[in-house]
Amino acid sequence: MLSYSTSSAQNFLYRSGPFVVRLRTPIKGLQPLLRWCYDAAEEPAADAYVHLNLRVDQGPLRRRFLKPQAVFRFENRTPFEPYPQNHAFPLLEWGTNWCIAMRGHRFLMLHAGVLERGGQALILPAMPGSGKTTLTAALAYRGWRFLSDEFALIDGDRGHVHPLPRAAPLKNNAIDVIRALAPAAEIGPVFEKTRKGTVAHLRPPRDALERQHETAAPAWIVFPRYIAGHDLRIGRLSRSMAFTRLSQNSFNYRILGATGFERLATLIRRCACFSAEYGRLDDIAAALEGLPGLHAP
Amino acid sequence: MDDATGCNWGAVAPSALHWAEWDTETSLFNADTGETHLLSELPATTLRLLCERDWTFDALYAHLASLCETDVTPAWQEKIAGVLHSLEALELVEQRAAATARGGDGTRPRGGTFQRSEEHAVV
Repeated sequence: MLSYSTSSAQNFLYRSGPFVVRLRTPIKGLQPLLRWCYDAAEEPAADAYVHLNLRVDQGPLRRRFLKPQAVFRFENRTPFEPYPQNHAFPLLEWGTNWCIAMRGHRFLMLHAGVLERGGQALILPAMPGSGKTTLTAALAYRGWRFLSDEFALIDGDRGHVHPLPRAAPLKNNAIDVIRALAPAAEIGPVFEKTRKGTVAHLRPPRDALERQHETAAPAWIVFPRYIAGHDLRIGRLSRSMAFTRLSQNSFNYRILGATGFERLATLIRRCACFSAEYGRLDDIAAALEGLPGLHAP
Repeated sequence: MDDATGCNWGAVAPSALHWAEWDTETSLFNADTGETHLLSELPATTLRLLCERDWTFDALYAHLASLCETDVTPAWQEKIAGVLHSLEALELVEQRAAATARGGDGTRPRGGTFQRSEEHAVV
């Protein structure tokens, strides 16, 4: 991560998967968290093309001393209402995801967790609230490389998935679940009463940041759904149903038109597709070890 | 029988359609409307035929009956009329003046043979 100061703000230039981000912020509390999270990532060249120009500014002067605010800005737009200033990091992370969803159209973007093993990608598409981030985080400490908890970025050249190792926001009970399950996991400060409840971020594992140029060939698509107390139920999903569900789960399938259709069809043809309901992370993690071809020589 | 029977039928824009065939269903993207459809076998086969050329209703249901190895009955004709109206509602096929139709000669569809005859519906 490159950083330098100007008179009123700190500037950061860092790589987030295929995207180079420039962030300018005067908010002192944000800076150490950013370094904690992304310092292990490769430094972009100082003259690298910047895909996302972001700012997290202080709120208006009248709010600097009483309930100070943080304002997210993207190319001079302010897409969100201000957050309390001590929630600047969650605001930056959610804002960055929003910008990627708005701008990353060279990829087919699916709303999914993604992991890799042996050069093959496991895609976990899911609706919000289905436990996708928690499952992705758990698997990242069960022998899988963490590629993303939010985006499956499918390129048009080889149909590979590109890593986007960003801070994974664990919510509410999931924070303690991951702490217990993966003592090695580095979890940042707890942010209470955000708009999504209590949130703490899982720092991307070091190898995920160091290998964020290594793409993976899609091999499995599993639609996970966490149901408290539910016994594991996992089964094959027809390709037609997988196609329909993914077309509705994508950030930009409709924007890409025929290109999106062909890219999604190619993805489905090369993957084994499953649907899974589970109530215990241990159960589904064990079941995923039986994915076809996972342990092939 | 309804008004499907007295006219000719053709695909609206065959070149705008992108196909992905799965085991028993077909995903279809219409680049003209931006819509994606999931078709079961009978509607997909019907649309394939209509992408090749226009068909009279009589020739179409007879040909589909042959592909499906089923008898031509009033119920079958009703079913094919229903499929056509469903495809029409999706802006995939349209009724055309009789003069433009080239008639049915039993040409087999590009998608290969169609052997099942269960109840199918446009999804």
